Amino acid sequence: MKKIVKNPLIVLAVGILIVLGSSVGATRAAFMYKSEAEEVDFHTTNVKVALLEGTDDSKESGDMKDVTDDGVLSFPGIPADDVKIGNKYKELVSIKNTSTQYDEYVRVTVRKYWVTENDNGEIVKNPSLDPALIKLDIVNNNQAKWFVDETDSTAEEEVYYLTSPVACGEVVPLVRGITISNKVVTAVETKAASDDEGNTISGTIEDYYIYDGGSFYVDVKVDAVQTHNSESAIKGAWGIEAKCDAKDDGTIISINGVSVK
Amino acid sequence: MKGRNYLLVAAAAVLVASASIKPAMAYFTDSHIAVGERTIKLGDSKLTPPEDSVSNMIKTVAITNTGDYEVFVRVKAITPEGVKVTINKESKADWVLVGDYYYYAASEDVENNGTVLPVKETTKPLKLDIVEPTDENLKGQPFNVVIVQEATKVLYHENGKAFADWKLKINGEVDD
Repeated sequence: MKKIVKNPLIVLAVGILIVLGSSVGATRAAFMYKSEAEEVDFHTTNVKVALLEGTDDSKESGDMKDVTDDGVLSFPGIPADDVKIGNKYKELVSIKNTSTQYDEYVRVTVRKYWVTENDNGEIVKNPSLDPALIKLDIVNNNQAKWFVDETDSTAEEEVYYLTSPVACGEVVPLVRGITISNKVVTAVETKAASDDEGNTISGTIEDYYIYDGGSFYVDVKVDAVQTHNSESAIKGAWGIEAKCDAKDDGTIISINGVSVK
Repeated sequence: MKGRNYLLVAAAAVLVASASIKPAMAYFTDSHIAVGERTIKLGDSKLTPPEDSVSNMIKTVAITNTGDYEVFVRVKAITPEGVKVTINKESKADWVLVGDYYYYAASEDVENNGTVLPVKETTKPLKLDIVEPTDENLKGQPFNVVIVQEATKVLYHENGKAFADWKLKINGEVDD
C-alpha cells in the first residue's frame, strides 16, 4: 500500500479519474432532473443600440433609416458631385436604444478626416489637411445634451456622452448638419499657368487648391452599456471613471473627474 | 526521477495559478460604427485674357470662365492721364461700378448680390465709353486702356446663399 501511495503517477491517475468521474456525474444529473420547466426557450435580453440616418426625422414625413448593419453613412442630403463650400447640408444622425428591456448609457465617438491621393496614386488619409474644416452640427439643446469629453478629444476625434440613460425605444438626435468650411478655399498654391507643352502663358496664373479632390470622411461609432451597477459597468466597458447619482440607472454627474453639468 | 518531480511541481503551480484567477466581470454592451464620405472639387480657377475690342471709342469687354468652378468676376480699367472711361448705358443692367472696379453684379452690394458666372460661360458685355483727353498737349497722342480682370470663387453661407469674398481673388490682366 505504501508503495502505491508513494508512486506519484498512480496518485495523478487517481486524481484524473476523480475529476472525470465528477464531470460525468454532473452530466447524468442534468439528464436525470430534466423537467418541463427546463424546456422553456430561455435567452438573455441584450443591450442594443442603433444608428439612424436621414434628412427628416419628423413623425409625418421622416426618412430616417437604420444604418447599423450596413455601417455606411450615405449622406442623403449632400450631392454626390457638387459639394458647395460653406453650405450647410442636412445630415441627420440619431441613436436609438433598440433593446426591449434595458435602458442604457450611450457614448458616441465622431472621427473626421481627409483622404487624398498620394504621389503613388494610392488613396490614403492625409493628416496635413485640417479635420476642423469638416464642421458637424452636434445637437445640444433640450432635445439632447451631449457632453463632450475634452480630455479625450482631438481635432480629429471627439467623444460625446449622454449623461442620462436612454430608455428602451428612445431616439436621441446627434448630428443635424455638415458644412465644409470656406477656409478650404484659402488653402491655395498659386503658380504661373502653362500650356500643354509646359510653356508659361503670359498674363495668366492658376490657383491650385490643396483640398481639391480631397474626400472628407466622417465615422460615427456608438457604444452602449447597461445602467445596472452603472459606475462599474461604465468603467468596465469604456475604461473611464464616471460618477453617477445612483447605483443603478442614475444620471452621470462627472466623467474622469470633470463635472458634466 | 528528478525531472519528473519538477514536472509535478510545475503542474501544481499551474493549478494554483488557475485557481487564483479572479472571475471576469462581464457587462451588457453593444457597439456599432458607420462611415460616410464625399469628395470636394475646387478645380482650377483660370482666367485667360478677356475678350475685348474697341470700336467708336467704346471698349467692349467680356469674360469667360475657363476654369471648372463657378466664380464672380470684376473688371478694372486703368487709363493714362487725361483719359476717362465711363460705363455705357447698355451695360448698366449687368455691371455696377463700386470703387475702382466694375462688378458683374445686380446691385452695389457686390459681396452678396454678385452674378454667378458658371463654368464655360461668358459674361454679358461690359461696354466702356472712352473719353479722349481734352488737354491740348495730350490730344491726338496714342494711349492704352489696360483692363484688369479678377475673379473669386463662389462661396456659400450656411443657409445656402452665395457670396463673394474678394480677398480670395484670382487675377489676370491685359492691355490694349
